[in-house]
Amino acid sequence: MADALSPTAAPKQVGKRRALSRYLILVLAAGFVALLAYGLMISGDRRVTEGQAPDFTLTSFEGKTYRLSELQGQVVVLNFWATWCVSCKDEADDIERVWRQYRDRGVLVLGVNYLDQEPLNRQWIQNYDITYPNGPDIQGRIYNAYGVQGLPETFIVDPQGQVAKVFIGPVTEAQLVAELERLLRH
Amino acid sequence: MADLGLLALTIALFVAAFGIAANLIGAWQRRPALVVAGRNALYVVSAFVTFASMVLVAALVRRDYSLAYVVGHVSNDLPLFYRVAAFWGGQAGSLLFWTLVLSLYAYAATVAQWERQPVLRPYVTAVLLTTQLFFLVVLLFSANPFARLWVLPDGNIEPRVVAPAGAVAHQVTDGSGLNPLLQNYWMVIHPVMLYLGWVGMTVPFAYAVAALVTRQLGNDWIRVMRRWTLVPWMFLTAGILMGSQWAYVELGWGGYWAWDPVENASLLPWLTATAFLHSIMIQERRGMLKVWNMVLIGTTFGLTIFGTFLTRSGVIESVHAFALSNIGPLFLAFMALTFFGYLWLLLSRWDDLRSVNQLDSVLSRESAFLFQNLVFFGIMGVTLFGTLYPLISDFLSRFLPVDRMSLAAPWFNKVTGPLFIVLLALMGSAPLLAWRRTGRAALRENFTFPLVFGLATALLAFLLGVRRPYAVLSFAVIGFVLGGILQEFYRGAQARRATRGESWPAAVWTLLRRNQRRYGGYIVHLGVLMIAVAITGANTYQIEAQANLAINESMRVGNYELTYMDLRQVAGPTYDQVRAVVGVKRNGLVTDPVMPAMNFYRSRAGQDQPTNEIAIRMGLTEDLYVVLAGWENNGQTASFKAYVNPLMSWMWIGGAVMILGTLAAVWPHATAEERRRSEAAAPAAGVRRA
Amino acid sequence: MMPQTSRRRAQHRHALAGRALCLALALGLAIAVGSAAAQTASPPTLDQVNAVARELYCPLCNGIRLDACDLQVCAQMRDVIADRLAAGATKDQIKAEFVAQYGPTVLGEPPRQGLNWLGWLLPAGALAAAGLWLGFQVRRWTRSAAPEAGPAAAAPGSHAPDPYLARVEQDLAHLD
Repeated sequence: MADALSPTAAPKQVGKRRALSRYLILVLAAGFVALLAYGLMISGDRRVTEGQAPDFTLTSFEGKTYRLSELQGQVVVLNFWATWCVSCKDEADDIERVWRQYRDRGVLVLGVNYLDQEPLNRQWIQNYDITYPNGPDIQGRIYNAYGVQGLPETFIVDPQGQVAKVFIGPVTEAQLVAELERLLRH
Repeated sequence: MADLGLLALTIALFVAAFGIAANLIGAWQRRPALVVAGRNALYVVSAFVTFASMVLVAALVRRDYSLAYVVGHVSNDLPLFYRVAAFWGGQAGSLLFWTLVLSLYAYAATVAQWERQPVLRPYVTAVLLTTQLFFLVVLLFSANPFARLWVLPDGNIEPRVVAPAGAVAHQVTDGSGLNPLLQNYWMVIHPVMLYLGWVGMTVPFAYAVAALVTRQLGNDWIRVMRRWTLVPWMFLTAGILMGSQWAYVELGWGGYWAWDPVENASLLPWLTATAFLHSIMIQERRGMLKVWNMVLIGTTFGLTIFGTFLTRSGVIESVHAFALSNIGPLFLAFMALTFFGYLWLLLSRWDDLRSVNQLDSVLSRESAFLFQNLVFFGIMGVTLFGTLYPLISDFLSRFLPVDRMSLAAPWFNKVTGPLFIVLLALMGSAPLLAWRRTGRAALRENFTFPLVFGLATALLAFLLGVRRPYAVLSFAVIGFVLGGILQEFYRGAQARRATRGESWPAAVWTLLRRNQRRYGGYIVHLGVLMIAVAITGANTYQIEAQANLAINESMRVGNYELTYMDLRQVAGPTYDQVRAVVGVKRNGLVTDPVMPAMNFYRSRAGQDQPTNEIAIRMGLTEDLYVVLAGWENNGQTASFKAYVNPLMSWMWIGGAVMILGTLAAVWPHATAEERRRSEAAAPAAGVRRA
Repeated sequence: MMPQTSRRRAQHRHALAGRALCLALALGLAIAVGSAAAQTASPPTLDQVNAVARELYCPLCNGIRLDACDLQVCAQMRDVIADRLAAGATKDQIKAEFVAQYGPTVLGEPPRQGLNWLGWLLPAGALAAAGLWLGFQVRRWTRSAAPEAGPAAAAPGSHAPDPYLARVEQDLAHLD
């Protein structure tokens, strides 16, 4: 830009300044295009569907803290939900039934509340008689780490800490049971 | 029938490719016949694109549900007007519409300029054709409006252009309809204006590229450029304002501009185009800033493509954005190609663009324009930064403790607000400064009245109860600019009265006619001032109130008392309307009731999406804006939000004034012949008087 | 029969991720209903709630002010504001709590702390640098031009070199 506005520079300085402004324009343009390319890259489907499950810490409404990396050896069912999500109602009972059925077989169900309010959560948990731990996703960090794109979504992490399965939309008891049986058989 | 549209686009694609080659080869080998063939290719492409558009519009009007686009954007109960508007209501259709507008501009520019720029024309045509080719590629391979719906063997229904193996055509009897938010007159017209604005910037860009390639960098093409920038600029201005109008009357939050990415995308090229329209004057007069003007044209075109990319790629989330699609990479590739190609041209022609020039004084119109250009470009830069902040912060958060976030009005207002005030002040100062150098006496003579006028305006505002420093400052600057414009008109008219004895109106009219550019420009500035008045009023003194009211209960907002009287249901053509009747008292005096409502559209696209029908009572001093927010128990209670927006109407009046001023500036009224006649007459008048 | 609005909300349908989700949700409606949790002795008025909400932004969609947002999420957040106001919290406390819970997007601007200052300093720095640079350039060009600019180039008193306007001014001068 330097020369763009100053075509009258003294001749001896021209070479250096021109080179500088040329680079500046190029760097700006390249940076801009690179930023957009980066945007395209991250805007696609970045849901974590396989590989290492991102570590996180979730503090439940009861005050207990769960850290994924410390839960190795268990199958972790990570359910993202919110009270403002209508279709989350469809799966609430199913997930609770699965939890009761598998809680003693090395399965932990964690409810992750996205952009939600604690009093409403507690009310919901009471209504659906939910007994597995639930906690708020502070600043949506877990939501972002797993690349969740809407609610509800359910991630299943195997005992080695790998993502084994992702359910998009409301999940049913049968779907969960099938996946858990497969993982527990190994 | 729809296959004909597909065929037309395919032919256009090949002809465009041929046309580019013909123009380039024709130019290199100096074979005029090839250049003419290339030009004819552009005509053929434009004709085929127009035909394909007509096919799509016909399909929408006839409700040809064999096309996925028709199914997605039209329904049986949609009136004709909106069936036509559905052409640009969705992704694929709007891209075809873009291509159509581009074709019309390309055709008009080629016809109008063919005789005048023999050296430039093969390159101009080639650039226009390349842009057409790009959009044809997008249309045919990524967002095809002529795709049909197929039932695949696995039972999924997908839109495809070519029938997949084993698929059966999907039979549909009713479409899902047009998004109810788009069923509004402003929403129908404002994209058209925006496209006319965005797409039109391709023409000056094509001229810039041609001038760079041929190194014909003299000043001949400047007038052409100016006119071909001014027209799309006018449409862009109208489109931005109509978009705000739509947001104001349809979205129901009492505002008109949310710094949403899509809104910003329309503002960005407007800023650089406005900067260009000013800085090109310096080049015309002084031969300066050639490189800078090239940068501005390139940036403006780049930003129009960027805007489309932004709204369609899903890179940044926006309320207005189209559904996700995979056209992002295509657009990005085209943008990168344009950017770097143009930059390479610019850098390799740098020495040709050099010109001997200097500034005589800091107190000159040139230097005011320089700073004004910087501010325009600066506002563009920070708006771009703010729009892309979600990406920037996401990227930074990978190495630094920076929070990923998107920015909203508080940030944009804080950062651009002061810049806009500086811009206004420069807008008022520049016309008061002489080219080259303003002497001390002239300075005093030209600035005294506007400065006094500005101070008086601020004082008046203060006495009328405006107390916030920002608003007082803003009114002071507005008064200063207004004073300057009035002074210009007064002096010019006074001169004519003195020499010709014309009446005031006649004198002003002759001024306008004799120097359209200058006085048209002042009228545009007047429009800008009115908009500044509206923004100052509405941003600093909006009053807001919300209440749940039972029947016959009242709420207060500003000087108004609103009483909930009744709630009733009315059947509309494509929707059921729930309408509240709200009694209005202003300063204790009963006026007509207002009827805020909510529309429930019957089509599939309208389900779950009732739209607000806001009751707005517009006035020159303030708007009363009432939203029906909800109700319970069959209307025994209802919830209302009400706003009083001071001075809001001036935004739309100012917009109209800006358009009129632009028309006054470009209207081919004072023809060359007439001008010559008047020039000839003037000395005679002088002699007579002497 | 009138459609019932108070609980009629757009579904968070999965197909609609991202912005499309926002659009669908933004149009669902939410009458301001006191949440079960908000039933305290002296509930704040809607205007008091809005006074806080208008300084916050919906974290789910770009740029929509919390007091103007029709999403169920936003309605719930307004209820939280009502609760906190009833409990005696100030506007600034509530805003701080919202940032802690939902992230700085709710403020609509980068928090002025730590490296988030970059969101302010990068554009401000670039603008200041560009302004200084141009000021410096203009001074240089003026100086380099000064010796050449003869008195003829300067047009004192003239605010318009257009031939027409110059004429107009000449006329004026005659009259003086």
